[in-house]
Amino acid sequence: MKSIEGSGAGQHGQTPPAGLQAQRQATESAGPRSVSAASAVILPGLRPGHCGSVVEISADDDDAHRLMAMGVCVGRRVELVQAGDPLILRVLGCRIGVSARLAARVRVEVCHEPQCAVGGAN
Amino acid sequence: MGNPNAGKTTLFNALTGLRAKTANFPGTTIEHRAARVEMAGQTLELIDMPGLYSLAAATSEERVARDVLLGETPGVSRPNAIVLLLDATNLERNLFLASQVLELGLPTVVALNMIDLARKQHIRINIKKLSGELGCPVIPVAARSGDGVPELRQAMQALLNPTATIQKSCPPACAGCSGCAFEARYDWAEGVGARVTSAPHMTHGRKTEAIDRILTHPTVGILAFMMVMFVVFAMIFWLAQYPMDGIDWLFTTTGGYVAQGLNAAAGHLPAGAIRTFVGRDLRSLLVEGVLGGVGGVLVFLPQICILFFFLSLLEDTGYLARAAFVMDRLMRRVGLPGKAFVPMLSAHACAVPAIMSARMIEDRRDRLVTILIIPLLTCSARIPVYTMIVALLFPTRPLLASGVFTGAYLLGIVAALSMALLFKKTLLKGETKPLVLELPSYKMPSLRTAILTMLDRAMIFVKKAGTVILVASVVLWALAHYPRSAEPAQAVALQQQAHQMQATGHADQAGPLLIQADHLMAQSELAHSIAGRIGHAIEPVLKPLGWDWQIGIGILSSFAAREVFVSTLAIVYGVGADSAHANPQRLYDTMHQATRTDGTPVFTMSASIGLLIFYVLAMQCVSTLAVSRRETGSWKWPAFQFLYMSLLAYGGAFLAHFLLVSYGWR
Repeated sequence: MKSIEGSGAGQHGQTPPAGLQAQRQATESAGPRSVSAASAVILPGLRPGHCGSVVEISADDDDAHRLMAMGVCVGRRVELVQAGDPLILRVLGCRIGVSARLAARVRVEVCHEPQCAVGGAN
Repeated sequence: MGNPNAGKTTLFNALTGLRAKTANFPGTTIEHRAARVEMAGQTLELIDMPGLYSLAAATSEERVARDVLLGETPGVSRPNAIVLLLDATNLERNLFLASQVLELGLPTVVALNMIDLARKQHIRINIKKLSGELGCPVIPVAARSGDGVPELRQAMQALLNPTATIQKSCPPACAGCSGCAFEARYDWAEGVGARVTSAPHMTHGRKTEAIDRILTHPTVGILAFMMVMFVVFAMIFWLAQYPMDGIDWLFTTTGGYVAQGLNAAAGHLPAGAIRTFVGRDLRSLLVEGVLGGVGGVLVFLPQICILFFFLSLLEDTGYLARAAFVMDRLMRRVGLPGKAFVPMLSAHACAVPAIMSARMIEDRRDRLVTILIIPLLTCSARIPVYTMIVALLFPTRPLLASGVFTGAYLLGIVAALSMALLFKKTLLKGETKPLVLELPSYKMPSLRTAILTMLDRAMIFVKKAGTVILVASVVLWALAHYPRSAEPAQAVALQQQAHQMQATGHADQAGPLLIQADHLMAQSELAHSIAGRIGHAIEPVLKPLGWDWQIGIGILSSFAAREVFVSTLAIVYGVGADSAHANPQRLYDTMHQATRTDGTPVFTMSASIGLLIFYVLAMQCVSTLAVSRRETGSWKWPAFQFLYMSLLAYGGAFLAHFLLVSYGWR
């Protein structure tokens, strides 16, 4: 039980660097998927009803964490349900309202498959 | 424990009923509910943890929850087991928290809630498979109807049975994996969700989407919200008036009986100090101090109950999240989040429930600013004071009167919004937390939860009324009655005259004389009391506002509750406290005629408008201070709140008086 607790605490402790790591991973993972930087847009730039996979969250730790806890996390797919300020996203089959200012700090790769945000992992 | 909107409170209520007590975790303002329940001869303590999306210790709720679960909160022993609540209609998102909770290594049972709704949406979940994936028992429940709750109880007992082998929960295989810890967990959650659910991609019903297209629309949504709040307010003011009258009647009648009883008791006592004490001091303490003071505050209980009842219903349906969503952009302009709007609106009924409902604002700074400005908004206790001043100034011009009345409301709103902006720019610097808010599926609210929430909030208020407010009322009563002074000669003469009339058979004429004598005595008593002396002493401070010592007494005595101002003035001007209710015109006439020693009238236009502004801005409410203390965790914030509001009120009244006088509006 000690070891389980230890590993759990370790992961929680990672939260502040997690933001950085997420960014690093974002740039790495952009390669294999062979997506040019041009196709990455900020979240409010998506067309309503379309989705994209998150490549970068450049908000401060606290806000990034709040987004990640709701499922907006590098590598995950999100769908823009309703544009505006605040806008509505669908993540993990669940709708969340996010202020446009914060959403603008999330960059996504536009995804062309229909309904992909609902459709699970990459 | 579980996600917000997973139905935790409903399940907790189903497991514990009315035995739950609300308290803060030691050293925090994070609230939890706890209850002792008997299970198979054991007494268990169940704790309802705050709703969480993750255990990563980034918000104060998460930190508190983590510390409690790890046994690191002083004064709270580590739980023996966890009941983890998962929303069956939204399994993947809920499994994220599950992955973190299971890692804690505590014996865990999963309650798969809203299984009935999931079935309705044709989501089929393989319970056995889920149990295998999570490594712990999974019990499907429907907390709202109570289905599955007995089975959950059994599973909880089994979990605590020391002879049973504790099933070790297996955390997701993520140890040592690189990259974003969140991503790995989400992948795990999604994988498990896909493996155990037959329709994993079923999302919100079409109904929720259709309703949301209207309710989250930038303009229609705000209009809809205004309408909803208008209905709630209409209910608060219309529905509450009956129980309010009832409470008022109850306290007045009880006061009458107590007075009669003590008078009768005094009659049997031998003349002397004890007799005077029972017949006069004790009677006055119980009737005016205790019953009058506490009754005057408890009168607001129905409004508080109705407000919380409707707020709980609205929250349960999922609507409150939409309200915060549509108001967010507007509120951001004054540096507050959308969630601050409901507390600010509630403040127009009473600041106490408004401050309590500010809990829904997650960010500490945003919540503090909201709490600080809430008492500036016109609550219903100010209405008697506004009414009096407006009636005094414009008795024959109803249009102007209602204009000034509305102006007072607007002044409160403008002051609150500007102070919010000011605090956000100076004292509690920092950008407003951007909105990140789940918009849960709409569902039927639970009446039971609404009633329990209402009772819970009502209890908190009554406890405050029973302690802080009782003490404050008694202290203020003592200030207004001691030291005793000699009865004024005029009153004594009137009493003698009345007794003579009674003796000669003109008892009907004696009554009014006795009442007049009583009024004179009350007037002289107050003028010579400590409150009266303080009123005299602070007169130089009040002079620049155009006020005299009599208004000073009124302000002092209304410190515990604003509406007392009217009845105090009635005593000060010798018309008797009861006429403030029964015959306000007489009070207004007397006040009109009231003059200073130099013969000029007291209630001039400038002084009265200043008084109105003072009452819009001043923090004259002990209940609010007490609840601010409870919600902020220290006396520092209520003290600051009192100070800034008093200064603002004084400054406002001074400015109004000064401007009006310089423009010749006396």
